[in-house]
Amino acid sequence: MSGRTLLMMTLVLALNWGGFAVCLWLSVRRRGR
Amino acid sequence: MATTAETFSSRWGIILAGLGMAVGTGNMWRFPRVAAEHGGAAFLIPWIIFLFIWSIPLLVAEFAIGRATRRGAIGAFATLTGGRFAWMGGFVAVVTVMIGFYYSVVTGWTLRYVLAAATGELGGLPGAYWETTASGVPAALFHVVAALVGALIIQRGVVRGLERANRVLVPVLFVVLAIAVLRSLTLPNATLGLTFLFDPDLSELLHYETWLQALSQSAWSTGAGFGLILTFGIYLRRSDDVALNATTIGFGDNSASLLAGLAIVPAVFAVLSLQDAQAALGAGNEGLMFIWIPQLFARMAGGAVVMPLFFLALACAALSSLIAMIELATRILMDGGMPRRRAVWVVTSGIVLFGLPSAGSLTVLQNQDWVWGVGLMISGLFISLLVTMYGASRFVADHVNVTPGGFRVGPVFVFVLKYLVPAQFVVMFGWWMYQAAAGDPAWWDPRHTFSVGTCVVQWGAALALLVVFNRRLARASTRAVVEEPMA
Repeated sequence: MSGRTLLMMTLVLALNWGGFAVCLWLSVRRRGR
Repeated sequence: MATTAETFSSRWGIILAGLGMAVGTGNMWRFPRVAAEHGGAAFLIPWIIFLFIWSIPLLVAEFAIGRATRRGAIGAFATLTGGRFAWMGGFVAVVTVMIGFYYSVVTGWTLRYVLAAATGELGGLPGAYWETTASGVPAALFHVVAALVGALIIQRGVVRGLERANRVLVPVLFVVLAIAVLRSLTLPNATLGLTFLFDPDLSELLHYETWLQALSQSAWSTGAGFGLILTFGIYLRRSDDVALNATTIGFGDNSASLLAGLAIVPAVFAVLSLQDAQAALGAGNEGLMFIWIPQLFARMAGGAVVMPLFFLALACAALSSLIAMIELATRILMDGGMPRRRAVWVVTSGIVLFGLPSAGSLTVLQNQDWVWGVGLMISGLFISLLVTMYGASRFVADHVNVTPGGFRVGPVFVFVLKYLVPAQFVVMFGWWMYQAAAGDPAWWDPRHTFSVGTCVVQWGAALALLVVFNRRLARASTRAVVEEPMA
């Protein structure tokens, strides 16, 4: 696997899974619903 | 008759219901295939862009519209426009209900495959097995079973039925997908598939189809424009954070798609020859899932265990989306004053009956998928127009930014919903019309499965009926008195 592919994979996964994780974390931290 | 002011029991209930609705078969069988076909990581760029400029804004708007009006798709449009544009909500509802008719058949397929995978029936000739599953008596039988299971869940209500079911279906789906990803990535040569999925062929960004497929994938997959999140919005409290919940659902749906991609594409390339791998990914949604995937598992160490789990995940994804569609139609009847139980059985009878043509013929199913799948773009436009007619800034102040301490949206959101969504619609829809017509000499012929003509005739018939009966629709959809839930 080339470095370019690895970089893109990391970026895409970080953005989407990271975004989801941040949203879940905010959901846990924030009061209310 | 007053409808009870039921609300989701917690934020997790809302998120799980939203994820259950959004994550469906499209994440599992369409995303990996379409992404790999359209430039791998290059496809993922517009796909992520459309999440922000189409899907999430529409999901936020839908949640807020449902909560503001406490009515289903038709009643919500009627309430916010003084009855004049109930037909637009009617179109949103028609598109989703028409999808529901054949989606029940699709859910039936997945249920049959869970059983077949568990009992080892799939081991022999998956192509022949698919032929017997796709249409005919088994398809009709499992279609009825899927509709009945959905009805039994929804008749219990939103909290005891839909929310409780999703508390099981969604975690099972994510856990099983994670197991499938682990198995797939630990196969020898899995990196071939990763390269196929993530190597960016940037020249693909110059093709209109990459952008159109990315938009339709994002809209289809997140459920933006379906009116389903609008229906869920009815069961939110004023204190619920619609912006954060919608964003979580959007990202969660994308995450599930990537999990499915990582479960399928590396396994396809690791187990099959290069030629077969490309044939599998080019075999269409059903071909990939129901013919190639069983072959894949049959040749994989541990495949006999992972295959039933994989189809279980697919069935969970399909069922959790189907129950949302049943709820949408049920709620519309409830708005007209019908009690939930009776409404659920009227809807289920309709799904069983009108799903039968799709169970009887794969061509009918594919035609319906084509017509109403593209129709979703029109639904998205209508939701954006509703917000604009109400006054986008006023809508945000009155119905979105109302949660103390919650996520707030600003002028960018207003701009996107008011201008960018309609602009995307015009460009993408026009592009689609032009290309579909240019590539098909009989593009005008409504009898052709994938023609522009078949879309125009079916949408036109629905729109004409809805416009003619607009006043009656507006009255009927706002008949029930709705209680405002506790804050």
